[in-house]
Amino acid sequence: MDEIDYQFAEEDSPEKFAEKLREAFKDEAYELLAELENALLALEEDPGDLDVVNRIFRALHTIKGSGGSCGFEDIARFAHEVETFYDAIRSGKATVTKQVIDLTLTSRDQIQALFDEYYNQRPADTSKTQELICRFREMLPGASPAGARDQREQAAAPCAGQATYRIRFRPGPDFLAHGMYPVFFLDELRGLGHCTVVAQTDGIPYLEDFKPEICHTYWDAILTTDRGRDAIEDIFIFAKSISELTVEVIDAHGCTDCDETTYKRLGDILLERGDLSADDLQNALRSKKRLGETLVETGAVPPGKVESALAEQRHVREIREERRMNEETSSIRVSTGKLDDLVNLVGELVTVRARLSQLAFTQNSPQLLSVAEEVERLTGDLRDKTMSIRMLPIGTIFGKFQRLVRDLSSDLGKEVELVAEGAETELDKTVIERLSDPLVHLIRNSIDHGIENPSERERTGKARRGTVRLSAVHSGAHVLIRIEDDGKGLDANAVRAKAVERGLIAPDAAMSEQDLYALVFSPGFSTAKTVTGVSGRGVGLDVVKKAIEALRGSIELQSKRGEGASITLKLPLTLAIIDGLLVRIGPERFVIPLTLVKECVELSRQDRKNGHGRNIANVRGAILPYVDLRDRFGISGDRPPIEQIVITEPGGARTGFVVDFVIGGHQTVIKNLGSFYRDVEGVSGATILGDGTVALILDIPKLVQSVEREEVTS
Amino acid sequence: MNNHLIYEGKRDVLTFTGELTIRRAEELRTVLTGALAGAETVSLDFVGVTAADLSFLELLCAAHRSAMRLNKRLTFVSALPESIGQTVAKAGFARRTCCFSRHSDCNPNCEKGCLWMVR
Repeated sequence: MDEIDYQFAEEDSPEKFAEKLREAFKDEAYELLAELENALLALEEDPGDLDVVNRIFRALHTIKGSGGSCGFEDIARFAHEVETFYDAIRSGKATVTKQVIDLTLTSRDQIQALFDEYYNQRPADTSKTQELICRFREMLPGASPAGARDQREQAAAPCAGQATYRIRFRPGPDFLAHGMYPVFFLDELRGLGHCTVVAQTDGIPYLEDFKPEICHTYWDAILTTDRGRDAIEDIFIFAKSISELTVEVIDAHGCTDCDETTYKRLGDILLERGDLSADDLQNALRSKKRLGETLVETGAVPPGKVESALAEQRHVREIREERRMNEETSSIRVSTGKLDDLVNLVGELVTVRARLSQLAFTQNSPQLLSVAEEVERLTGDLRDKTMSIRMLPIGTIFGKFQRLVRDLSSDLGKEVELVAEGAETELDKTVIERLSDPLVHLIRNSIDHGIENPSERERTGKARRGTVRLSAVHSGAHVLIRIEDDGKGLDANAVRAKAVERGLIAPDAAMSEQDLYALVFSPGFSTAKTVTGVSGRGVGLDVVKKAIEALRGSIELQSKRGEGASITLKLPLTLAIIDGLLVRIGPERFVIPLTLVKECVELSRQDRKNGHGRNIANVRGAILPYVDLRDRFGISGDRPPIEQIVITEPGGARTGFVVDFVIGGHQTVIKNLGSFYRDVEGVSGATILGDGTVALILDIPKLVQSVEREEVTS
Repeated sequence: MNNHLIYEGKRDVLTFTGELTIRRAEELRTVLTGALAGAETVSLDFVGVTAADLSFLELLCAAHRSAMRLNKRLTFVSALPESIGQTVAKAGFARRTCCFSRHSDCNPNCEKGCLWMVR
């Protein structure tokens, strides 16, 4: 992320000033485009959802407003045209069709192209803009009144000082006789903000008793406004003597006792309003039916009051959700560079803390020990908080896959639905960024190779529409990301044939299905009979595997013929701090990532002799090849009589690493090695220990690879 | 006459045109009472209606209530025109919960239910 400079010097020329504004708007612009895309895909799923239409409207509106103020006039004009159409949808004058969604997605892409032209110096075809504007105008049934739009725009942007009021307005019997019309008062209320009105009609008599000159209805309104109670009461000032009015605050911005994601239950609302007695509520709760239904059926509450309480529930939930989203987006932007510096400093602090604790322990001073403990606690908290700043919900990349699936399935003539679960699962920002491409590849693979054509699916008794399920869950210090499809699964025989053809296995090799499937991650492996624009070129899965391993993660494939395949990625929560196993060889100390460690066993001099000069050991009857790290790193000095083998399993094959001593678990703050050491194979970084010395962090998969390579050459 | 009734035996169709406001409420009440006294089902056609006010909505609620009591049906021939729809929305009459939900199979397309159910 680029660093943003919010300080505008007074002597800035207008052009310079606009340039800085545009730079400051950059991230927001792309976020708005992502939000627009997500909302459009959601609208395609449920074209009647007005909330989603509002999301689209808001995104376009902000692109127009903020973009315009930064000097992106063409984009603002374009966004305005698209927004006008969505305004027509909101007011029921236009409908959502596939054509509308397609056109808006294309327009969204065009807006992105226009932004890219400025931000990334990528030339854009600006003539396309006018063409799209014309198409939107053609679809527009007629311009909507500007006044009405202004009002809606106002309602779409909630204000920070707002509150939600519960209003009950009961006109007296002679209200109409005074020449007053209740609906005008309701219109005035709507003018103050977002308002939900429910008429209470339980007082309307039968036809024979109906008197038109009497107002039989009264109203409940839920109003969210920043204008305050006085503004509400002012509306009714001339009707005070001939009507009853109650106004109470039910929700306010910054209220401390409210859960921002939920609201009161129906029964509680009715009790608060005095529309239901506690006894009736208790009786109704005994019923197995839904509360509202029971209350209406038993006659405990008129249906209009249940409707009104439910409307209140919906209204407040929507407002809270909107507020929550606004708060989320009101966060400040900090460059990742600064964040990295902070993580580094915290890392230093963790190291100093370890030294302090060690010093306090050796000096055996109670005062110093107490201070050391306090520092330890605070440093731990600071470390956790700092790490959590780097965490982002994985849903930030899930959104773009919806579009990918939509476009890809349409290109391939398939019907595919993407179900994303666990979007709120948090993961280190760097991991998320580097995860995007591998996931795109895996999803493309699932759709291209996994999901069958609709007709083929029908033939095999499946639903025409295939499902790709993308899920993320926390599992200890890891996140498991799973891509599952209900397609045809892998053909074990085809995999075997291809592996034999490629010389990866012997024709008569006895292998489990699981081992066979692992071969698809070998370089250049593909069983696709035809190469499509999507996949089948045999490049990719090995690259995916490498990318995941570079994130210190692992990948596993499971499949059931005819039922589908599932790929699980196991990734560490963060790349900045890992759990390591601290080991010692002579005076040097090293850290082995704990996730790769399976077990530790002893290696005596006799065990070495039994290997007859080869680096192999017998561990419970199984042959274990090992790497002698002392030899490997050229560390001089004598070996202890009994050494330790740390057994690891990178990529499924067990390999041992011989060290002098295993010191124990160590929370390792990773320090990158300078560019001078970047190409040193087998070392991925370093960490500073409590006594101030440096320990190298071993890159186990790379070490194994380089040893294997050397053996092949020799 | 701005409204007329076509007698079709068990189902009578009552067609309204022009403005349905408090000024005509008494006249409409008489017409509706008469129609409900005759047929089993009274269908209301509002296609030609140019304006409607709160009294008209209340009157229809009253007629619907009477029809339910008489075990008769009061229905709309087609979707309400915008002239009435706007008044329904502005006056907060639109419903998601049925007024007469004493029958368990109530759904948005239920004909026994509230006249103002959002369909």
